[in-house]
Amino acid sequence: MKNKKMIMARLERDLSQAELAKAVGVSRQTIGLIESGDYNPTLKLCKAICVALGKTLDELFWEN
Amino acid sequence: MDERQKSAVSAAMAKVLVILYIGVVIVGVMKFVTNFRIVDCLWEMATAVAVPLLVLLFTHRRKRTVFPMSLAGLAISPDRTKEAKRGRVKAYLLDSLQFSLTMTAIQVVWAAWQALRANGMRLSVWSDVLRAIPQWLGDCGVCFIVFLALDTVLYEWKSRRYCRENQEYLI
Repeated sequence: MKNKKMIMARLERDLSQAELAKAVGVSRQTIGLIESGDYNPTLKLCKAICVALGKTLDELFWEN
Repeated sequence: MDERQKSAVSAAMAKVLVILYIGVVIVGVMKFVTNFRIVDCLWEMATAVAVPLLVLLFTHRRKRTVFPMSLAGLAISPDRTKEAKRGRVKAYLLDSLQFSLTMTAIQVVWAAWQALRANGMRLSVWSDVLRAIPQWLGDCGVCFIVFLALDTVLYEWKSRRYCRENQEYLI
């Protein structure tokens, strides 16, 4: 399942996948796979993404 | 290399290791069956023993709390409840049954192979094999009991350690 919350948060910050990837220290493909729901990141990477996008873990990764 | 790439490489390397390990074991068995000399397959035997030990050592050094798994690869609930304990006992029984049946099968195949090799495919050899069945069943029973005892002691200790470590992480 796609992580639309993460895509929206990234677009709100006007960041490309490559820029977000650089900010959190992973490859662009990894960000793409997380957004498409094809890769489960570790908690460490989730936190780094949250910090880079200014969101909380609940806001980005919690599914209701 | 990021975490996803590391994970993909680790998974691929684990598969390669398993294939190589099976290859080494097959080569070792072939060498032994051909010449019946242990000296010829010492390297293969050493590798077959060293690889699981090294994997254990390196995974242990990661110091991660690993959920206890049975020999069959099933997760064993480490909870202290009666239901969890019943599940654990069932897993120990299954483990012991699998192990003792496998060991007995190896013993039977080995004994049959030895007898046939020595005497040829004669009927008297088959009657010897049939006569040996009670002995094999006895061995299987002893193997089952010994393995059950060892499995129970080891996995009960593992599940207690898991609970203890989890308590430490809760603080």
